[in-house]
Parts: sequence; structure tokens; C-alpha cells
Amino acid sequence: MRETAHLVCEIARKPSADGSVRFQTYQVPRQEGMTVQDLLRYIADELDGTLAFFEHSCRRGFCGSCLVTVNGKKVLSCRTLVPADPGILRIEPALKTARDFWPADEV
Amino acid sequence: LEVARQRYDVVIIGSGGAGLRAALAAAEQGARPVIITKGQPQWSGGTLSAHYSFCAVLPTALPGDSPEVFAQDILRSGEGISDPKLVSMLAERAGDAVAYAQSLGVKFDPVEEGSNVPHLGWLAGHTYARAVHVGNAVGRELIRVLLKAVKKAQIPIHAFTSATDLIVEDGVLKGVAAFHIPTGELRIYEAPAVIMATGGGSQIYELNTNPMEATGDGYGIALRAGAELIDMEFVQFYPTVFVAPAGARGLMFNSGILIPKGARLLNRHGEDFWDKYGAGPLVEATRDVMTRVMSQEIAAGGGTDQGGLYISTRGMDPREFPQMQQKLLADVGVAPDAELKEVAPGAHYFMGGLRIDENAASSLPGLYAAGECTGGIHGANRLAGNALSENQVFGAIAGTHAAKFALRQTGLLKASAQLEERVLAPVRELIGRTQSPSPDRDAIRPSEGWKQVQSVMQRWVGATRTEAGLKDAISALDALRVECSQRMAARDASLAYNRDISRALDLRNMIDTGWMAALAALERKESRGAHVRLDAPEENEEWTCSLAVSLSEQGVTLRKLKRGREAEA
Repeated sequence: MRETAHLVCEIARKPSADGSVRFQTYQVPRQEGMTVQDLLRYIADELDGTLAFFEHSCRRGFCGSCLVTVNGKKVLSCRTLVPADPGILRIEPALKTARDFWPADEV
Repeated sequence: LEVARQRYDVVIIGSGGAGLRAALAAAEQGARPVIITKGQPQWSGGTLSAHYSFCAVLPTALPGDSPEVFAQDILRSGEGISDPKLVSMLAERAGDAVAYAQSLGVKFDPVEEGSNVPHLGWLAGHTYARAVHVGNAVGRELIRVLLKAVKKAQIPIHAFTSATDLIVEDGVLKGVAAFHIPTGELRIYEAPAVIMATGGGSQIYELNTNPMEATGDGYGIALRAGAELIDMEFVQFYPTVFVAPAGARGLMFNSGILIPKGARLLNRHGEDFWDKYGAGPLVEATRDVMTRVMSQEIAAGGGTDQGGLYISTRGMDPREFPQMQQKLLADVGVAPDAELKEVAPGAHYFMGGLRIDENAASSLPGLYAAGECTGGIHGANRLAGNALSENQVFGAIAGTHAAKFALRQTGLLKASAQLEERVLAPVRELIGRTQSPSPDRDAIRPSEGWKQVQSVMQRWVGATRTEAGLKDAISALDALRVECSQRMAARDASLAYNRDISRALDLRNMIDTGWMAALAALERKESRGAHVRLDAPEENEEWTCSLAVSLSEQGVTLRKLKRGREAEA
């Protein structure tokens, strides 16, 4: 994966299920062919240990658990590439969450 | 940190097909089961990824088919390693498992519209067509109905609860230690019986086709509890898994459909290398043969910078390709009309696992197991289409027998405080380092540990192996185990929904799973099925046996079991 430039991302942060949402900005090195899910994983694993993020993920785009909102549009993050020239990427959960992007644990 | 206690008759670890089926069977016996899962049942486990098939001999089977013929197919594919008793049970009961799924509401695709006779699909290695299916999502449909039945039976499911270890005192199983991810609570589930239904461990390889959750939890937990595991050296690789572009990495490219239509394999120079290896025609090559040849070509320097090869569909019409996959590939950056795709063998399924008997009982009294986390059925090579059959048949058996075992126990369940603390210690220490007022600046991060295991396994315990590489893998994993137990910490001190802690708990099991696979692969000095030793390329009759691994205070024991457990009898 070749590094070319940095992406500016505004990521929704929420301390608890009914906590208020604020956006935190991260600079992520763009890697060729990365998906939105790759980007969230990179932030959680490399940049910020406080970002709650869980991947069930069939990784095949059919389980639906990775649904997020990118710049206002709902997408399955495992099968959506980071756009070529997104400007600022604003990413929020699209499903019920307990903290940040961690799914609410009701069955 | 306080420890929260709960008491049940049967604790089921894992909420895929095997775990849900086991819970229903246990409840039917009048036991009180609980399911604990590190994820969420509607989205977790390998069962959901089963697209097409659920193999069984039904009352409406093709003329000539029978459970005996089905069993012979599995045994042939297992190359002398499968346990014939377990295989017979699978073949005999798979039909009932299909009927059970139908009774819960699964409507298998019929032979023709309006009929209630399921259509039977044919899969490679099966003498007869015997795969029932539901569109392209049989696993998802199975989970849907099982989960509905579990809720109806009011069986509790504790989501985001990672089992960390079993509590075993003087050889008696007393329960499960667990970490509740939403609250950071340490838990002890007291129970006389436990069912392992944790699925596989292919995530220990850098290139794999599995969900993130497939970290070998059941293998690691069982090993540390003293239970015996068999056939851990046999890991099935899917030959054509995307290595690039990044977003497609880990996706399977359906070579089974495209090679018969004329697709070819090329090396980094664009050369068709297949015939160099004398492995017969490419169109007839099974997954293990393709994996072996491709790995050799990559090792010989023919691989791309990403460690892959090309599969070429030059001259073929993209409209003939599986369309659902084409759409997915297009979404993740693979041009639908690209003639070259960059692929390599990726870890797909663990044939080995906990040794079980006909009652799904492991070698540790009270511990039962079902599904991919067990060994003994698929032997050296898994036949396609049998994963759901296995998890439904043995899930039911495990649930029934674990419940009967639990209801017979009257002894004192609670373990001594001293033992409980010893079992909880690794988690307490991890939390302690995470919340330490003077954190270790050089503490190892869980994501680094994941990368190290995946890289060691990919390099040395992959599709081809050598003595020197396996020894390197074992020492690397031994060192990593020590380093993680002493220096691993989460970056966030808050314990609620802490990703690092959850990944650190997975990592303990990844290290132990990889270590067992490497140890067994080093011991087995031959090549057979999915296990290929470049320094022992032939099959050796002396090794027509399973290799059992177990751990005790005296250290590790490896023993040979002729055809499963027959040698013991």
C-alpha cells in the first residue's frame, strides 16, 4: 500500500449511548485502495486508543453491521472505498451505538 | 476489581450455528443454559458466511446415495486422518439437522416452484448432489431461525462477553472466567458443564478469509485448561484470495467456477508456471493442490511485490463471472473487466481442534465442543459444504450431553478463591498495566501483537513449511507470549468498550493457537492434505494418525492417535 497524501477526517465521538456527539479531526495517511472501514481501523489501532470501534464484519458487504454515514450518505464501510478527492470526510455511525462506533449491545 | 458471579447449568461459549443449536438442545433437556459471545449473535461467527450449502442425505436423496456413501466421501477427503465414528454420526444425522432447520422455518430452495422437495446442489468431492441451499445465504438464514428459537426459549445471551479461561480445579470443571466488554467487569460463570462453540482461528494468518473474530479462542482456552486438541497442523487454505488492492484483501476469488472456463495462473513475469510442477491439469486441481503449487511458485521468487500471483481471465467474457461477486469487487476497487487479479492462498478453515467423542465430550470431563473448534471430522482436508452439517449435528449432541452431565452433578461448584485468582490473573494484570499511574512507555500494543502473530504464521506456518521455519515460529511465539503477558497494555485507561483490551484477550488465544499449529506441524514429518512440508514432501504411512496436543504443569505432551481414538480402545 503506497502512501500518497493525508486525508482529513472528522469522526463522530460519543462517550455513551445517549451522550452528546462531538467531532474529532484526524489526519490519516491515504493508502491506495483503502475502504472506509480500513480508515476507521487505522484511526482506532494507530492514532487513538480511545476510539471505541468493533468489527464483526463478514467483510463481504452483506451482514450490514458496518453501516456508517460518510458525508451524509449511508454506506457499508467494508465495501466502500475512500473517495478519490473527498475534501473533508465526516464519518458518523448509522446504527445504534453504545460508545463512539461500538454497536449497542441489545440483541 | 470486584468479580461478578452467575450460576448456570451449561455455559455455551460462542453464538454461531453450533452455539445456538447447542443452547436449544440443552434447554430441551431441562437445563438452564447461557450463551456468552464476544460479539453479537446476529452478526457474529463463521456460520453467517456460509453462502451456499448444507450437505445431507435426505429422504429425497438421489438413488444410490446413503449415509455410508456420504461418510466415505468425507473419509476419502480426510486422507486417513478423520475419526470414522464421528464421520458416521455426521453422515447419519445430517438429514435430521436439515429437517430441524426446516421445522424452525428455513425454506430451502425447491427442485421446482411450489414443490417442498429441496433442490440438491453438487459440490466437488461429493459422489452425489446433496447440498441444500437458500439463495446465496444459507448460513444467514440458519442463524436467523436459530436465534428466533433461542429468544423464544428465553435462553439468555450475553453479548460482548469474552471468555478468558476455564476454571478447572483438581481436574474438575467449575466454570468460565470472562470479561464483560461494555463495563470492564470481570465475571465468573459457575457451571458444571461448558460447551465450546467458538469457531475457527484463521485470523492468526495475515492473509485469511475469516471474520475478525476468528482468533482461535476455543483452542487457546482449551489448551490452557488441559484439554486435548488434535490435527492442529491441518489448516485449509483457499487458493485464490485477493492480496491487492487493499480493500479487496482477504476476499475469495471464485477460481472453482472460472478455472474450468479457462482461467490460468501467471507469475510476476506473466509466465504460466502451472505445468512446471507436474501437478496434473489445472482444471482438475483441488484446493490443496492449487495451494501447494502456488506457494511453491511464490517461494521460488515468482510472486508479486504483494506476495501474490495473477489469475488471468484473458479472453473470457466478464458477463460469465459470478455477478454478485463482480459487484462487490467493483465496489472495493477491482475493475470488473480486469484480466489479471492478484491472488494468493489464504487461511480459510481449521480442520483440527478439541478432541471429542460421540457425545461431543472433550478429554476434560464437563467440557463439550461442537463446530469448527473441534477436530476429528475433516482430517487432513475438508470437503466443501459440510461446515453447517457439522455444527448442527454436533451442536445438538453437545447441548444434549452437556445438559445431562450438568444435571447429574451435585457437588460443590465453587472453586477456591486462590484458584479463581490464578485464573483471573492475566486479565487483572492487563487491566493493572492499562490503568497504571506510571505507564510503561514501551508497552506492547495489542494491534502490534496481532501483526506479529499474523506475520510469523504467514511466513513460517503457512501453506508450505520447513523444520527450520517451524522452529523459528515456535520460538517467536514463545517470546511474544512472554512479552505480552508482562508488557502488553491498552492505550485507553477507561474499561468501557475498550478495543485494545478486547484485542489483547484475543491475542492470547492467537498466540496459543499458532503455537499449537507450529508444534504439530513440526512433529508431523510428512506431507498430507493441507499440511505440506517442503523438507518431507511425501506422504508417510506411519503418519496415518492424528496428533494430539495437551498442556499440563509438566509441560506439553504430543501423542499419536491412530485414526482418531481407535488406538486407545
